[in-house]
Formats: sequence, structure tokens, C-alpha cells
Amino acid sequence: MESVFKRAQGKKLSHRKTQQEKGVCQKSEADAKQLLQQFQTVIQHVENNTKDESTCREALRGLYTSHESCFSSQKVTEPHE
Amino acid sequence: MGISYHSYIGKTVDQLPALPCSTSGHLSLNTPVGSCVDNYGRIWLADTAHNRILVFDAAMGQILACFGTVGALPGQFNMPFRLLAHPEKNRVYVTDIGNCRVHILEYTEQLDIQSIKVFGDEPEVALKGPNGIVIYNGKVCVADEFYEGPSSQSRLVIFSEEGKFERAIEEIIPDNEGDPVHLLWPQGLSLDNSGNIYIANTGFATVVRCDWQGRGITFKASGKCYIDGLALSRGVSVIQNRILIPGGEANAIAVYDLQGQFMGRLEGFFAPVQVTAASEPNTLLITEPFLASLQKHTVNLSTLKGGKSRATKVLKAVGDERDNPGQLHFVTSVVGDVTNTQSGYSSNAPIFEHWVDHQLALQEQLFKVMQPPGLPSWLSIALSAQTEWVQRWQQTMVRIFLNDKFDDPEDLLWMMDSGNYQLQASEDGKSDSARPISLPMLPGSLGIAALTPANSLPGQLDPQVPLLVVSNYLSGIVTVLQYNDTLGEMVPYTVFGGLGTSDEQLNKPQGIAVDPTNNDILIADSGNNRICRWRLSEAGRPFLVHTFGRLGSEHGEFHTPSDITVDARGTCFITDQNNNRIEVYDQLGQWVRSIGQEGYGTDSSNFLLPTSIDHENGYLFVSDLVNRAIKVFTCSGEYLESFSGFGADTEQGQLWLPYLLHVKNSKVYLPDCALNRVNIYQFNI
Repeated sequence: MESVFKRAQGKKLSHRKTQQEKGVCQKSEADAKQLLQQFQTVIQHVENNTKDESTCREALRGLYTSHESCFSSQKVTEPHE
Repeated sequence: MGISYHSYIGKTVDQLPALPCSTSGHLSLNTPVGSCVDNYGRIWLADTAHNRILVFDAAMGQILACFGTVGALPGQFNMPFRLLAHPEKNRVYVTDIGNCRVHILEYTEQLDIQSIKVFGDEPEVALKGPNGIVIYNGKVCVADEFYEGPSSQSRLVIFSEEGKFERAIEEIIPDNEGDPVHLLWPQGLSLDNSGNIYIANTGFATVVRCDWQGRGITFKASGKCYIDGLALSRGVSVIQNRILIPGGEANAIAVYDLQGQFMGRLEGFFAPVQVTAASEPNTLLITEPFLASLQKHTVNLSTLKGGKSRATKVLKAVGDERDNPGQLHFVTSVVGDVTNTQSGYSSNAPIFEHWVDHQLALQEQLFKVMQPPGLPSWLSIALSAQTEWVQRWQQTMVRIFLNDKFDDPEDLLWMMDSGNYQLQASEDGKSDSARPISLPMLPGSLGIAALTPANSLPGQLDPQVPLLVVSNYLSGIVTVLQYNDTLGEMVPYTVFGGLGTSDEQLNKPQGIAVDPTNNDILIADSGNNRICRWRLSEAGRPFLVHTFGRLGSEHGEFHTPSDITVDARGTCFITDQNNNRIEVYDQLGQWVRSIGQEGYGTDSSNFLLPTSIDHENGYLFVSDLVNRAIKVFTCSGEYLESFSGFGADTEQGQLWLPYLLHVKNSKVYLPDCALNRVNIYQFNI
């Protein structure tokens, strides 16, 4: 009989293949696309308005707030046994 | 040649006032796991990474007692893990996983607690990893997580309730005469009213049911003696005639009936591990170790049906104060080479001096701007207190970026403190030296690397100051940050990626490396099971060079690649985590060879979930998660040395959940996101 490790590896792999077919969460993917856009806007803003500290900070804060509202309910789930 | 433990960064905040005291404002837990309720209705909690047991009143408003210190003597623990209250006697059993033994604690109504027996470490038993524990009819059953049987399977061990060894169960024989079922890394155990044992069989992500002779009890729903199709299986609890599986579904507790029929999920949890019935009806105690939290919830499980989702009502939560100065919370990665430490003040020294004056003058104004709700609690505290250390460490950040000369520049270190959403730094490597040094990082920020472009990029504020590359596990976005001395802050220079499965998207990116031959950014795209190579053009725009790999176990395939390092020749070394091997690729993304194979072993090229890798001077350093070992290889794959240790003893350099390591100047920096510290090891050639 194959070792327990090999069997566990094989089982995890087949489970992963099943999960992969489902793809990623569509809402999270859309959120990430929107955040990338927001990043670009903020980068442009900071580059063009580097002396205007208050609006730069405001733009950065808006970016953090957007990211947090999209993803703070999720957590990093690695590493695990 | 050798690798040895040197020191650690990450303050322990385990002091308590005279007991009893209020839980409010006094309790900082460190990855708590097990809980139980004693015969007086009091709640016992294993504060695992603090090596102690805490006892609360039933309302969790008071800390009544604290028992245990770190060590291997009676009354001492090394990672007290699961707790079990004897149903009649005033006893609590504690699995002491790092010491490979079980304690029997006896208590009185006044909470005089005595250790009356330790067992399981006698040679004829030699537990390798006592985790879950249950008791029935005078017998105790312990899940021996890291025991290795003839087919590498784990086992259950049966003792008398006094701790006398009786027998071991190394395979489960199904009652319908199917193939034997083996255990791999069994963790939580539970019992139903008939005394059947439920086993969280973590390595197979199943929950197995058997009797005390090891005979599998078939679930009617599946025709097997196990529940399958779970995301994770770290724990199991049978409560209100329901089987609760923390993590059985992502961010949820999966609920099954006793026939193995899926009934629904309790949502809103992050990596819950232990569910315990509280004294009150329909009330559960739930630990979320990585949130440093013990919670009391109310829910009527009998009304959860049809695969629906349900949110529980939180009655009380304690222990999640993890943001004291010097303290880390879920630290995931480290980078040290952000600056050319050989030079003294750079040409930007006047900017630094200007910054200090300017920043201090602006501080009050800045704090007002930054005070809206929703920021991490550390920042709220810092803002309200405006304490000296905030100012001091803001100055330190600038000194780092402006190449200021430190007494010992080798000890400069940046740490991704993911649980607190922040970047911390240490300038001397001392245990309490970590301090926040930037605005909040985004939730999910995980891996970091430093990048110094060969030529100045358009919009780069100072070509001498490295850029910082940060991967975000949740959004899939990789951010290249630079220090903006006008704002006194890290600001994004460029971004790429974003969650998804197409070529230019990323899914759960973890480790990052910079190819020293050409400054390409390589990312372990763990959710897409591939490696992505990105480059910044001369115009500073990121573009994808190529990706390689797909899901599988053959060469050219990966199963959760978690980290990557690139040597001086551009050769890539990748931890192919679930395939239990290191994969080596050339700069064009062609497979070269593999290093290692699956198996237990702290001093060999066997791996079990190798998680992280870095290199220096022709040596590879691999963090091997289940073996809790740092293994040193030559870049051609020859095993040389190792350091190993499973536990939570700060003096021993032991490991629980080590994450993305970093090697610099012969020191190995290994963040442990469960122990909440960065261990430092010295490698001597």
C-alpha cells in the first residue's frame, strides 16, 4: 500500500483540482480590479501633487479604506498543516 | 559549520495583575487553542504560546487563576494544547504537545490547582505529539499527531483515566469491511453520547468516527466511516447532536448531523480550532488562535438545516489585545537589506534633518487627519497617546531609508506584522525592539522584498533608496512602494497583479524574490500553482515576463508553491509545499531538478510541507513546517545542517508555525506567525 503521505498528497491534489474549477470569487476579483484602478489614480495624484500633503494623504487614506472594506473580512489562511 | 539559535524579536505580553482581576484591559493571549468547562462552570483556556492555563468565571468577565510556566517539570508546559474536564472528578487533562506528555491537574472549588500526574512520555508509550483528548467510562484517548507507524500513519493511544497505558490504535477498520482508514496528523477529538470517537484527521481533511477498539462507525450519508470534502479539519466537536468542524468550510464552522449529512455552516470565523459547549444552553466557546481570541457564542444548532449559513451571536470575546509596543501579531515575513548599510549619511542627510523638524511640527495636524474610525487599533492607541516611541520610530524609519549609519547596521530589519496590518522595524534585534514604522499596510499584506533598480526610474524619488515590494494574499495585488520624504510615508510607486487566474493576475501570492542578475520580481502565485516573473521597464512600468507551472505533482507542476529564492546565477529555488519538495528552475522557467522527498526527518532532505526558502553565499535555507526544522543545503541540493525544535520556549528557538524566512549576513530570520515572534539563528560556515 502507498505510504500515508503519498495518499494524503493525492487526496489533497484531487480536492484542489475540484476547487480550481470553481475559480476565484468573482466579487473579490472585481474588487481587486477596482482597487488597481484606484492605486493608479493615487499614484498619479501623489506624483502630480507632491507638495500638497493634505490631498496626498487623503488619497492614500481613501485607498487603504477601500482595500480594507473589500478584504478585511477575509484573512490570510497560510501556512497550515 | 553549524546553525544555532541566537535570539528573537517580539515582546511577550503575559503579565497579569493580582488575581482575580477583570478580563477587560488585562488580557493579551498568545495563540490560545483548547478550552473546557470545569465542574463549577468555570472556563479553562490553554494560552498555548504563553505556556499557561487560564481560568475564567462562567461570564468570562474575570480571570480567576493562572497556572503553569514554560519548562518540562511537573506543573510546567511547552505548548499546552487541548484541555479536557473529567465529567465527575475535579480534574482537568492537558495535552502538553511540546513536551510529548499529558498532565492531570486537580483543582478545588477555591481553584487551588495541583499537577498530580504526567503520563505518555514513558518509553513504552513515547507520545510524539499529544493533541486531542477525550474520556469515556474511565478511559482516556489521546490523538498522537506526529507518531509515525509502519506506513507513516499516526495513531490514537488509550490510557486509563489515571494515565496507565493500555493500547494504541494505528488503523481504523470500517464496520462495513472496507479498506482500513489511516490517520495523518490527527488533532481534535470528540465524543457523542454513545461514546463513539470523532477524529479531526487533519492530513486527509476528514473527520473519522470509530469506537474504542478502532472499529469504524459508518455514516449513513456517505456509507463511509469518515466525512469527506472538507476544506480543513483541525478540530471536531459533537454538541447538541451535531458534528461541528471548525474550518470545514473556509472562514466557517461546518455542521453535520450524526448521520454525516451536511446541515449548514456557522459563518464569520477565521481559523477557529476548538468549539466547546458552555454551561448555558445553546452556548458555545470558540477559540480563534490566530486572532488571539476566546469567544462565547449563542446558537440553536437544531434549527440549522438545508445547508444554510447562520451567523452566531457573540456574547463575549476576550484576549485579542495584541498591539502593545514591541508586540507582533501574525508576523509573516522579514526583509533586512533595504539599505546600503556600508555608507554613512547619504546625500539626503539634510532632508533627514529637515524631516525631523518638519515631522514633529506636523505631528499633531497629521494625527488629526489620520483619526477616522476603521484604522487598526494600534494606530488609534498611538494617535491618542502620542507617546515618545511613535516619534522615535518614525525618525528611525527615515534614518533607515536615508542610509543613516547605525551602530550595528546588520541588525536593521523590517517585519510584516500582518495581524496588525502594519510594517514594523527593529534596529537592534532585541526582543522588545519592534516598532510600527509606517501607515497601516493593507489587510492581507504578507510577503516583502527589497528592490534597488540598476538605473533610476522615472518618478523614483531617490535612486539610492530601495523600493519595497509587498504581496497581498487577499487582493492578489503586488505593490512597489517608495519612501516619500515630503509625506514622511511609504507611497505606492507602481502596482500589478490583482486577484484572478489569467496570466497577469495572481491568486494568494505568498513569497517574493528579486532576481539579483536582472532585478526581476518573482512571485510564488500559490493559489494559481505557478511562478510569475515580472519586470519593471526603464519607464518604471511593470510587465509580465513569463509564468511557469500548473497544478499537479509532476515536474513542471506545483501544488501550492509558497516561496521562492533566486541565486546569483538566476537559478530559482521554490518550495513546492504540498508536493513536499524543492523545485529548481532556470531563468527561462525550465525545470532543472528536484530536491528532497516527503517524510519525517529533522536532519535529512525529507520534507513535510516545506514552506519557505532563501539563500546566501551558495547555501539554501529551507523552513520545513511539519518537521519544524530549518534545513541547510548547498545550491546543488546536498543536505548539510539543520536546526529543529517544536514548541514555544523562547530560550530554545523552537517553532510552531514558521513562515517566510530571510537570510542576511549569516543570520536566519524566521517569523513564526503562531508564536508571534521572529526567531534569529546564526549560521557559521
